Amino acid sequence: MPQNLFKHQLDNGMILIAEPMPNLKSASICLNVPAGTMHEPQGLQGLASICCDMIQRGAGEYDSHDIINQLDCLGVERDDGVSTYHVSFHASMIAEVLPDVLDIYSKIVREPRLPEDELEHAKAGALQELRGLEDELAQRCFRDLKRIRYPGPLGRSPLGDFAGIEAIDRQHLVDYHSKFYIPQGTILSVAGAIDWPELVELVEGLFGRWGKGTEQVLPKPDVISAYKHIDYPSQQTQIALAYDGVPYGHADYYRARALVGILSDGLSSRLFTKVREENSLVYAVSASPHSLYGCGSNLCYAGTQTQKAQKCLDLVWQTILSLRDGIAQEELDCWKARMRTSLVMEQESSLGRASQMASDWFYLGRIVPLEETQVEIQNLTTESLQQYSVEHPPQNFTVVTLGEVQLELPDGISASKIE
Amino acid sequence: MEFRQAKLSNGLEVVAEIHPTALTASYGIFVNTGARDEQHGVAGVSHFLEHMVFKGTKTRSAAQVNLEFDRIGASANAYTSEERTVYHATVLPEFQKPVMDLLCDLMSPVLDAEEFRKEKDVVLEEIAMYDDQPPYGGFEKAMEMYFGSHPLSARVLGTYDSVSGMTVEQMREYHQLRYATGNMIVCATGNVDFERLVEQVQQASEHWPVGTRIRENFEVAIHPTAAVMQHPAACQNYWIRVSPGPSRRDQDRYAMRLLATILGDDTGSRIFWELIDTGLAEGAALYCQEFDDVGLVQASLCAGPEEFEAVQEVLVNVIHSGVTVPPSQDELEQAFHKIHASIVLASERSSNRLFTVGSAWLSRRAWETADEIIARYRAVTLNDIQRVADQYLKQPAISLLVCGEK
Repeated sequence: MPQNLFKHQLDNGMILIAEPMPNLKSASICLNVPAGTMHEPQGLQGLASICCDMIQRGAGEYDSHDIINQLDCLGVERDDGVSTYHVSFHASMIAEVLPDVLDIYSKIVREPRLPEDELEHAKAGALQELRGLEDELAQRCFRDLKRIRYPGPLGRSPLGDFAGIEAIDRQHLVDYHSKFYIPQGTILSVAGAIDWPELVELVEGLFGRWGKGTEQVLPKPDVISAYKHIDYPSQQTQIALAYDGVPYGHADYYRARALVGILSDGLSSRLFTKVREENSLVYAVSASPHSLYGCGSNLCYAGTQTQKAQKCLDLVWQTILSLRDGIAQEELDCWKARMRTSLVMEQESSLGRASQMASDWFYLGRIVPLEETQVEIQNLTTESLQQYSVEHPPQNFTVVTLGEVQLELPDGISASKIE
Repeated sequence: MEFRQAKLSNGLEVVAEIHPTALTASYGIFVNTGARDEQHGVAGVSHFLEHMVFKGTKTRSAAQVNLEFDRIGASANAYTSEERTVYHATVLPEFQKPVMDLLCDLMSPVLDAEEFRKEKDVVLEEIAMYDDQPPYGGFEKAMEMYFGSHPLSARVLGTYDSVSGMTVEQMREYHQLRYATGNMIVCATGNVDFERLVEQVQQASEHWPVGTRIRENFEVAIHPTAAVMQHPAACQNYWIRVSPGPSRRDQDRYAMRLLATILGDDTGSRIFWELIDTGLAEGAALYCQEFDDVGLVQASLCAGPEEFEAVQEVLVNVIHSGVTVPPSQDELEQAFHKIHASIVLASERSSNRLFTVGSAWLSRRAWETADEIIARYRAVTLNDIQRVADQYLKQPAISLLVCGEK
């Protein structure tokens, strides 16, 4: 199916990208503002999330109740999130209400009131979430894994830390907002039942007078190899593991992605077959690629009862290593078939397309047509994958385990233990 | 869009909501069996069987089943609840035949003893996983307290002991009894070739056990109680409150869902403004849980242990406010718009429609378009809201607190 992909850059630097999907009734937006956790001042961890919360507690002529009530009455399914680089707003709606919804979001990011009397509520909510994470064992492992693997600003958790949240005052919010809620680096991605010329006019009207700031340079991360165990009285041991990969947009991305897919995508993937089906060690086991700007990692997860945990870690490692011994044509064909289905399913979802286009723009500076992705995938061969896996053996491991017993790292994974 | 249905000579029903221009098609076999249908001593057999169904048939090994789903790029899975076991897959329309060939074949698993032994360990891992996750089996415990000796008190996963002690013969007996043509349906949505689907299913299901299976329904006797369960490592407290609500077949379910949205949705509801916006709680919600013959209104709360009782009181007061401070027309409109949009957005994907269409047919032999469902919500008045509030929010409740050592 031919795709119409559009791009427009406002004079202030903000990027608008869109794909009309005329077979849908819905429209979705993904608004990425370059105000993620990497910009938080030292000692104020949690500021990006609190700022994201506070800007929605009143903006322009709307107070907190107005914003939520209006978005609810417009029937907007929405979510917001904070990552290393961005504060992101995702919203899906019946397409007719898109102008009203964009009006509200333009005020949220451009004209927040940051009401002093609501700051304590926002901080109390953030502290609740931070404490709640202590009970979510797998998430806790990956929070620690990221912190250890990417020391400094790029490894921060959006949930922050207790001291950071306690220290935040309104002036911090005002400064953070004025410095990082800026048009340069902001990407608005829209997909669904939309008319491009009308959308450009609308977005120019809402965001065209947004004043410029100073665009930030994105640092390349350092990667630390280490092992941390968290003693915890749980039935299962949580295993979180990372090793070097390549980021989205890298020339080798699809070769590396296919290898992770052969490890983990689908019912016949190697980790599912070896660790669950043949050895009954887990209910859940997975691997997935993770991208930072200029740096990629592969993340693996397994949860298993304490007495099986060492065997499980050893087998996960052997299964990762097995990629270098060859890729069967059938494995690659299955992965290609799954990707073909998932690319078609993406065309049924306006939110899926809006999110993917925003990611394309951030990592590549352009929108990738689905056909191009399809060709990249179809061109992969078992020989090229095996060559890649031999030339790029898994290395630079970071491991976090949580459970009753600390594990021994298998031979081949060298990482210093940290407390 | 077109709805088609057929009843095969063996009693099996096939239904489809067809969108000829859809890019994908979704297929499901819905079996009218779940935890509430399990006899004493085999708690968890429905769910364990759902795992075993993928572990080999007369013509395919477990590995072949997995491989064949992957060869056609299927997004395939299954789930078990108190009342249903559902096997489903979404594929490109060209793969209708192979995916239905697989799904139909799965309904006759060999239930091999060695595979049974191996898969038992996987199910025990799943039980352990949920026991480690908040609220640490609290929902299951609350259902046991609420339903007492009623079959709906059964845990979907069973317990460590019930699954450990289960035999493959017990599972084979259960499968033979429950997977009968009158106790299941085939449902498809999206870009479906209905004639070929019916033809294929007719052929594939010729040897399936025939007949209907009666589900015994019992009265629920509630004994309002409050209990505390300790999970020493928990940092947060978790509280669950369960009281009666309308069933899946009750016309009042639309009004009750709207009332639950007004009071307890995750944004813009009374609970949101009192507990989440203020940072008093990490999570709090009020929602309906519906079964074929009974229903529940459930509330859940997660917050720090300090001042938890005061936070709990706020939640209870909000629930009661549904009666004492009748919802306004604005609140009703807001709730309607949220539900309206969520139905329209979900209906854009055949994989979402599959569960709505299949569940409605299995439960009520009814097909409703998204527009018809929206019209039922639109017809709800403030009087209806007040009536269901009076009827359900004053009912006795059971509650369970899960807390750490602090």
